[in-house]
Amino acid sequence: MNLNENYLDTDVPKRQLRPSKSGNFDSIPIVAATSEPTTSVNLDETFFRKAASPVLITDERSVSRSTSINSLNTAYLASSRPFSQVRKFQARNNLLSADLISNNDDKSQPPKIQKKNSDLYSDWGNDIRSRVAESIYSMETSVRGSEIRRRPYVSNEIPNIFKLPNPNHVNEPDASQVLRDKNFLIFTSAGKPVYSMHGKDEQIMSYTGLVNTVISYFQVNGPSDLKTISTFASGQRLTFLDKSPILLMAQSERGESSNELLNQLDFLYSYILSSLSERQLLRLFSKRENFDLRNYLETTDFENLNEICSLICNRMFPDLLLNSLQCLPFRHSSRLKLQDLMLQQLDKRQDIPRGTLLYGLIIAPQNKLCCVLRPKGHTLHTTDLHLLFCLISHQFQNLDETQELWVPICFPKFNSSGFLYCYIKFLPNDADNNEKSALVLISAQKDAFFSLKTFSDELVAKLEGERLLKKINASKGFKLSDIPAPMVHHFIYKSKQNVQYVMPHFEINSSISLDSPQGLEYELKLKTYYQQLHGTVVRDNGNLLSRSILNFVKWSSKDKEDTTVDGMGMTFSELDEYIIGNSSFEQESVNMLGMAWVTPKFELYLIGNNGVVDKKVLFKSARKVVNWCQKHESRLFISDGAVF
Amino acid sequence: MTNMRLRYITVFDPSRSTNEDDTFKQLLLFHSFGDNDPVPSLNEKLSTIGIIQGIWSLTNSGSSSDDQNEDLEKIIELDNDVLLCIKVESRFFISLAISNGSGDENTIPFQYFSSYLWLSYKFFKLLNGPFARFNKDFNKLTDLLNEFVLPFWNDIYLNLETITNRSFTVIWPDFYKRANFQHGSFNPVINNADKESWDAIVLQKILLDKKSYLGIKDILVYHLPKYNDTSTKVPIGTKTYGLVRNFTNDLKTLPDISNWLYHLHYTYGEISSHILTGNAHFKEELPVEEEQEQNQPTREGGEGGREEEEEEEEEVEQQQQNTLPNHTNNLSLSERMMHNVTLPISFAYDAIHEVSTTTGVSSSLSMIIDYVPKPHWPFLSSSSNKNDSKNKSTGINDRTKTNTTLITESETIGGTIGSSRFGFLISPLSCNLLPPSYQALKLNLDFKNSKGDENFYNCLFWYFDDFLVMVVCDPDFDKIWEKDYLKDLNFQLCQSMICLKDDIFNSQKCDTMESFGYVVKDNATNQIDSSVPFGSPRMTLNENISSLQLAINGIDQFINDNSNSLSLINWNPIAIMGGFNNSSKGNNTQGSQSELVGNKQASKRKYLNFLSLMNTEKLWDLQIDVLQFLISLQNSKKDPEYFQEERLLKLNNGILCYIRETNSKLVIIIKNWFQNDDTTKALKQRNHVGSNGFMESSLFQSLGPDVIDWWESREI
Repeated sequence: MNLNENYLDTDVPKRQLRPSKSGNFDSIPIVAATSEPTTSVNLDETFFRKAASPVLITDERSVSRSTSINSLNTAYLASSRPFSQVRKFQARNNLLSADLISNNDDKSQPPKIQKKNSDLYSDWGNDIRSRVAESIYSMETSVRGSEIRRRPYVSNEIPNIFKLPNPNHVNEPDASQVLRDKNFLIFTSAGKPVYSMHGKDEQIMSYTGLVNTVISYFQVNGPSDLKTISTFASGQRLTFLDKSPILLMAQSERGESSNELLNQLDFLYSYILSSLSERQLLRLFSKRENFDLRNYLETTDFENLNEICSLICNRMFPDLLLNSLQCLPFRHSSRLKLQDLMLQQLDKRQDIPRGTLLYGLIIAPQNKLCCVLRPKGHTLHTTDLHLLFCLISHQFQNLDETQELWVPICFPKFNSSGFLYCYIKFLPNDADNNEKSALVLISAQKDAFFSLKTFSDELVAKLEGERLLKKINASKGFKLSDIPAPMVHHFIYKSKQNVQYVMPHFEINSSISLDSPQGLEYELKLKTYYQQLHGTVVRDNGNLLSRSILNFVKWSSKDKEDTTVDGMGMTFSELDEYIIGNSSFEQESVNMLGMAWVTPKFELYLIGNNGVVDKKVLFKSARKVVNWCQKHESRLFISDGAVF
Repeated sequence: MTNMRLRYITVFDPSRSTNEDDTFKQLLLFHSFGDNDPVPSLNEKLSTIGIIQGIWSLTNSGSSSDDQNEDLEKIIELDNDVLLCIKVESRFFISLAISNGSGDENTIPFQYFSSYLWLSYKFFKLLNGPFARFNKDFNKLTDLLNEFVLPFWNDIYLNLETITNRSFTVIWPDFYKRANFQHGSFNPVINNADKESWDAIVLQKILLDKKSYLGIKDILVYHLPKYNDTSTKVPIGTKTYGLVRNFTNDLKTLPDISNWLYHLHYTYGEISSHILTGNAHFKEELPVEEEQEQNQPTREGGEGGREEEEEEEEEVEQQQQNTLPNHTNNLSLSERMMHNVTLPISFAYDAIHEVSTTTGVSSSLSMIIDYVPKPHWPFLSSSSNKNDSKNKSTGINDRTKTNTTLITESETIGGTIGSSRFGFLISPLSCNLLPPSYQALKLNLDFKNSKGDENFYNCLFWYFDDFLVMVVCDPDFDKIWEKDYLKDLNFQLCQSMICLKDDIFNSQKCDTMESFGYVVKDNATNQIDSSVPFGSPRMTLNENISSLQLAINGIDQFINDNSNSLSLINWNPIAIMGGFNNSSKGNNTQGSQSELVGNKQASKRKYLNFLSLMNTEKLWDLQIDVLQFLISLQNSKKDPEYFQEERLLKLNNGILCYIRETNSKLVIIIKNWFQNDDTTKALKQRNHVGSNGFMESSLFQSLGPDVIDWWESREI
């Protein structure tokens, strides 16, 4: 606990911050299920009366729900419960809640811990009243279709408050416009288009011509190079990155700062380098200035660029925003074992000359880094790793575990003019899902394939022998409900020292798959929330406002008197309509509270449930999140990796 | 200190060019500041405006601007430079280039410059009418741009502080600051029912009076105290700075007038008739050669038809040389002026010369005092006589001399009441030798209800200590040319201002130090309420600000004033508004009873908050931070139709900043949470007792009880 922040509102008693002595690190993930994000449960009788066809609720259940409210503060107590005992409760609750929760898969509401403690009822009082009032807003009010399909009472859906493009229409060809709410253009100094995220060739041609003229005007006539063009009213911003012979342009109306856009452009440029290397690029253009790079790049390159652009624009990809990596939460002891195994393997294979193997990585699905083997004093730049991850998840994902790859990749931040060679092998996974972890061995030598292959084969065999592979495949990250932090919808925690971040799984409504349009919309929404939160604590140049910052941002529906538009025709997104449906209840009002908390050690971006207006409540939870993350730092982050 | 500087400003109208051969016609003005850059050729100028148009159409080809109103402002950021461009009257472009020098961190955010770019247009429009008015005579427009826009920006070029010294609220050029008094009417105990209120006097006895009914369109009352109480060096809070009130609600130009006056006041440190008529500007001490070089580009703006003006200038210069052979020889080269603005006062040289010989006052200073617009009517109270006698006895400094002059002059309007000074700054009573603008300033105003959209109105300016009253008269209202009517007006305004001052001094709580600073921007009325102190650290190019001198065109030559002060006080106190307290330079030898009372009162109305105690560098950092918050808020992508946003920021340097944006209002509250801690703790304890924990932790409520009280009293 290094929470030495002056601006903590109140000092939390130590006993609240620390789990009891029996708090075993390994059993932590399932503790305190009471504090799942949706814990706000309404006991207001009117709610039940109003429901069109109320679901039968056993007394016991309602009691357990009420305790869950009151145990928000006491949730930490649950963590002291021995593992087995918790299990038992869990099982029991599964049964109890079977009639309430439709799909009891991992996305549905996790079961609650019932905790009978008569003391809990004694001081309901004022505290609970305010909490209940808040929780009303956190409720999913719909009981529509309760005959057809039972749905959870509580929902942690967050409303959309942004003017977002509909991600479903993003790929529709729209001939008329090159500029959209977001676009990327890559072209050569001679004005030849290389790549554009949107727009057809014939439009791009004339457009890049114009852009090129403007850029070269400033190059020739000075006083300095063009960086950004912003328009005031629409908030449109064009940002340029001159990497002659390649020029890149980002266009955005999403309120991103020019620095943010520059980072995105740099990432795109890094991709091109990773495929070509700078030396090759310069050679191509030194011969002929008007060289058409499109003929040289391959289809996969364009596909990858498409993927990267969509990742940047529409998916939850905080990696770039935070300039950090996502890690696979993994039991510390197992991670140590994994690293040991890798080091042992390296020692054993004395036939591999020193320097042949530069880096070894195990990458879990969804681009989560699991383990690193690296030489002392050298680390790979996050951009290089992002690129590698993107390649693995997009380009090579169709490989199965019997195949292996030997690909030259230029790591632009490592050495932009040369290639490194990557041995990539997907690790076997018994589970039927398509997600596979990958082993990547990076070498500077072109002919090291076979020695690395044997290295890999032996390592994989060992991993299997030690059952580590199973553990890697089984590691699923964590859920918000694993953390005793109520009223939190989602968060991102970045450890500055490790340049890594963690975030819990998305927990949107169980019946919406993450890849469905609704799922994508949710992702974009969440992404926008985080982008906005991040934007409140950084300057235009990307630096943080100050060493430590605590910022709350509240988005709420307009006061009635303040609305200038008549007839409050609130346009809900499809998702919101889907959730709220034809409910007989009033549409919930929006009261979103977000938080950005920056200290020299960590950055925390956190979004509360809709309806949480009390900053103390959210801050309390935020502190719990931070405590939890710091306590499990060794599990959540890779601190050093296997260093040789 | 920063290496920031202005590079050039250009005004152009692309619609004037019909084919490739007459592109030069587009150019209305192109001026390069300073002599660091070589003067661009015509081709270079044309390519510059060409690329600006190119960028304009490039960004307008975007999707979303089709359905919205067209963007009127674009910011082009280069690595080390910024190019700001605005479009006015749907076809004129004004563009300003700023160089960041070495690109160091300590720069003025371009938002300030872009706001001033808008203001320069608005002020031009206020004084000369819209650009489109000169459709038939673009040479005239070029001339006027040369006369107004160049001096405006040159003053900023010479002293970059100008644009930052009114706090960050200047970044909203469409909004104007309002004075926030907690005056007596808020406090029923003090408010005497039988006493007439000051606004009733103005309304009943001036506006609705049969003599001036409908002749006087509006009366604008401003409170413009100085940044510092010069006698005590205690800063005066800016809460009460700004428009006190006006009397119509259809004056659409109100923000422009207000900002114009504030700009003049804070640029030159004073409001005087010369400043109001636009004849006072900074000059830089430069060798003659350089100065001539600098004048060069300013003349190149209009491509054709500039001869006329140049001829005029030559005439003027010749005249000066003819009339002032000795003086010019004696002047150091550095005291030359650098503006090619009209030099109205030089025409009046003979008159001044005469006065100086007849009165026998030898110092050049007195010459000017005699010369400047005279108070012509004796409004002498007993106290001023007392003052007079005392002044005579001390009669050392310049100011007392002026008092003597004032009293002995029989034809004065204005004078003193108690410790208050008053009089006309601009009125038909001014010397006939002066240009007509000294008698009545014609301003292009827009009253919603009047038939013609915009019209030029005669505006008179009158002051009472720190209050500036602007009387807007219908152009056909001839009474203002009658001396008796002006005397009457003077009297009524005096009565009213005395009441207003009483109101203010009798108000409660104005001497307490507020623990927070606030800005409230009201989108419906375009008003800003702010208590954020003005002032900024020195940003100017010049190492020593004293190398700048305020030059009043034409008068400058007579003054042998080596004072390094920016202030005009030394030599021209009468035409300058402000009370005795403000204009005294700390040499408080008079010590009269009334003065002491005045000081007491002044110290009572400081309206300070904790920000006033911060030094200027820290305050500037704070303003940069707040501006950053506002930029980030501007980038917010919330759907403004349905949602509002609130933020509460705590930085480790102590800043606690609350911002709320709704459709109608933007509220910013700045506190120091180090100081806030104690009160919060107290509040928390109270909460335990009061069990109202839910309410107290909303973002706004966590600002503490003092802010909540203030807000509630404000909202009533």
